[in-house]
Amino acid sequence: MLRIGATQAVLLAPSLVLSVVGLRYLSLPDYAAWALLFALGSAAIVLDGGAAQLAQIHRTDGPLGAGELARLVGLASVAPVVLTLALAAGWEPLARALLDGDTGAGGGRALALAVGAGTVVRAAQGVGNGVLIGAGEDRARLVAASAGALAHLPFLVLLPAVGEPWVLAAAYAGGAVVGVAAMAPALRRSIGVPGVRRPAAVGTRSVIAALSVSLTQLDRLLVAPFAGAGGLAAYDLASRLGATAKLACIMLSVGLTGEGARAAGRVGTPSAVAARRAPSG
Amino acid sequence: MIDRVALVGFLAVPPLAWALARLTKPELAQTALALGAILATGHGLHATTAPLTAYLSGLRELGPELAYLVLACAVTLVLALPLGAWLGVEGVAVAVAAGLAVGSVWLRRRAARRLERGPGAHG
Repeated sequence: MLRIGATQAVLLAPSLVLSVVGLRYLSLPDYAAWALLFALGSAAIVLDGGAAQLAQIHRTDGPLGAGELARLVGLASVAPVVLTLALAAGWEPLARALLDGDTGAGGGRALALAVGAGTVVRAAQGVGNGVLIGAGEDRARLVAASAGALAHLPFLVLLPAVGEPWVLAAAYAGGAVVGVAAMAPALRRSIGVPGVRRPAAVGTRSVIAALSVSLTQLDRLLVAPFAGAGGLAAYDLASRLGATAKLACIMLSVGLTGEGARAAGRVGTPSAVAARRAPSG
Repeated sequence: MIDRVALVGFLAVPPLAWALARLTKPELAQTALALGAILATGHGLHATTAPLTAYLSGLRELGPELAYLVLACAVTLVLALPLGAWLGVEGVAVAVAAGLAVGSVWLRRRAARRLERGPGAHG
């Protein structure tokens, strides 16, 4: 559990570091554009159609087929690809509506494309993480997450000299590419002949994830029209700190899911108990 | 234990937001302090529901968490426009925190009643 928590922290720490360093070295309009795109990208990653959960569930049951893994990655990539295309096509009106028309000196549309590309790779990384959790490859997952986090460093060193938001986008995408590459050997070990798949209901969990991300990421869409670049930047910083503290509490609670599952196993799930109690014949 | 961690962790958010803003964009320090305090309240209350939602998730009972999030989103959306127009960014932050707070209080009550019945109960 500690290793899973540590990996989660390593995966999420770069977003806080990117935000703080970006706030230090970018102009407020550039940072606001980055913060908005980053939040939208984070939301798109969560809207993966349950792919990461399915990857974990299926891998727990046995090996994954190569085609099966490709389909899950494809499923997870739909929302990020749609978001990227929508942002590339509609960045100017979006920036006019949400950022007082200030699209960022670094070229808003190019930034949107760069963040979008990073988001697509991050979505694949999410599926890979699911596979590795299902396979019990906690050490490989931690190594891959650490490699991805370290890949941000050269870009963060470059940022003060360049002062452009695309450096943050490149760090975001570069970290994801290195993270995926680092988990490739462990993913290969998970590929094999898949067994018969049991139905896995991920619908409710996907809706919960979508609503949860609405509160933690898409709130920037509510903030931006009222805040201006400075207000959005301050909100982004405060919100990321709050979310980091919340993550610590969630990580401390992870073990309780197992407790609940064991309790359910002893007495049966509500539906199973109801079925046992139902009159037969 | 989670409540104590949440208390300490979230008390640190406003001064940390202020300090980081001072280091990076000093003109945002006061706003970051205010937003840190408002959002820490909302996220802190949300964090205290983490043990409940984790346990219920293990029991495969996702209804309370789903209802909580719907309630939190609805409260946030209803409050965000008027409060944002009135108070600006701090108003939207109050709306987000209020959504999280109302949802969290509701979830704690609902989950407490559910857990009193034990893991095998349903309905």
